[in-house]
Amino acid sequence: MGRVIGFSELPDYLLSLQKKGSLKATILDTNILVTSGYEVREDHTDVTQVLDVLAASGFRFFATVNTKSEFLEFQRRLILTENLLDSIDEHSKLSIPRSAKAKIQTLRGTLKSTTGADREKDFIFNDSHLKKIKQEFSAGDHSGHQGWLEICKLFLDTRLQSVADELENRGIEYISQHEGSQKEIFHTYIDWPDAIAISEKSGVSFSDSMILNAFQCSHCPFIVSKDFDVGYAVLADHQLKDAVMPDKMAREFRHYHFAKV
Amino acid sequence: MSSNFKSLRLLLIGYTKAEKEILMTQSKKKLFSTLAQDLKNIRKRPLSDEQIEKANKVLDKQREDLRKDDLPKRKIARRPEADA
Repeated sequence: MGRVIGFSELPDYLLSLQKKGSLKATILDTNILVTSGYEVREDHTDVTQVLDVLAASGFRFFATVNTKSEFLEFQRRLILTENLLDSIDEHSKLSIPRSAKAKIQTLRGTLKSTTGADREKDFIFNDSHLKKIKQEFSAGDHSGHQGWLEICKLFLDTRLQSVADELENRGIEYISQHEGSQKEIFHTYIDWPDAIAISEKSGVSFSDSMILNAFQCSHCPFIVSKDFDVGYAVLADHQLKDAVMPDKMAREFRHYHFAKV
Repeated sequence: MSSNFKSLRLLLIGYTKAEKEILMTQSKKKLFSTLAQDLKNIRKRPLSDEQIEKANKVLDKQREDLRKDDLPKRKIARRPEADA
């Protein structure tokens, strides 16, 4: 059974790993990447400090196919939300169809009520919102209005690649078992049956089970996460390794009566 | 966050902030503490002058509201001193 290590326990924990001669490498969960890159998020400062400290002490960071795609997806939604909300401003230079403007206004109201009810929710359109907005645009420019493809060119073009580059600039490596420089990271081939078994154990989502499976197949001694389900899965499965999480979350698990092995 | 964590650099790694930055520069990696700002710069939006003016007005109003909110708290905070 893995352990959930609170951020404040990190110094002692890292010392114990150093004594064991553990590999200095870790996998970063999506919410850690998002929180570090979005100052609005709770725990932003703590998460960022933890990553800086791990980097300075020589840790290699890895992103899986899931964590990287989920991070980029968050950034896509954030960029589109900020720009679409600007586009309905009375002083906006953009000319967008009246129906699109109305849809953005309606969905902005929806966002206000959902984020008002739950402070942990981001004021960002979800994919379903964005699809509804997109449906109100022509693809190409039409009747003096900007089309959706032009909107994408204005808002997203080259920016998402720049976002991905920022991860690379911080030394975050994309996990690839075919990459020669990563040979020492893995002891087992990442395959579906193990990911399925992790999901079967605690009912964790497949996205999380794939992240946990990549972690499990690696020599990384811990994963850094802010996801309740990741901590839960680690404590529920005696085959899983440790998770480093914010103190508040680490304390929460005391109330769930996990069997001690 | 505990003081235990705050002194992590000294306890475990022994790097000061400046040393850490040198280390990062040597390894050609950027600090995570600059990630949010770098991403914000990428998201920088082409606003019209009117939009910038409007945004500044909103910010000014928020600052003014915060200042107003702060006044009663200051009074409360001063009270024990005044009693003494």
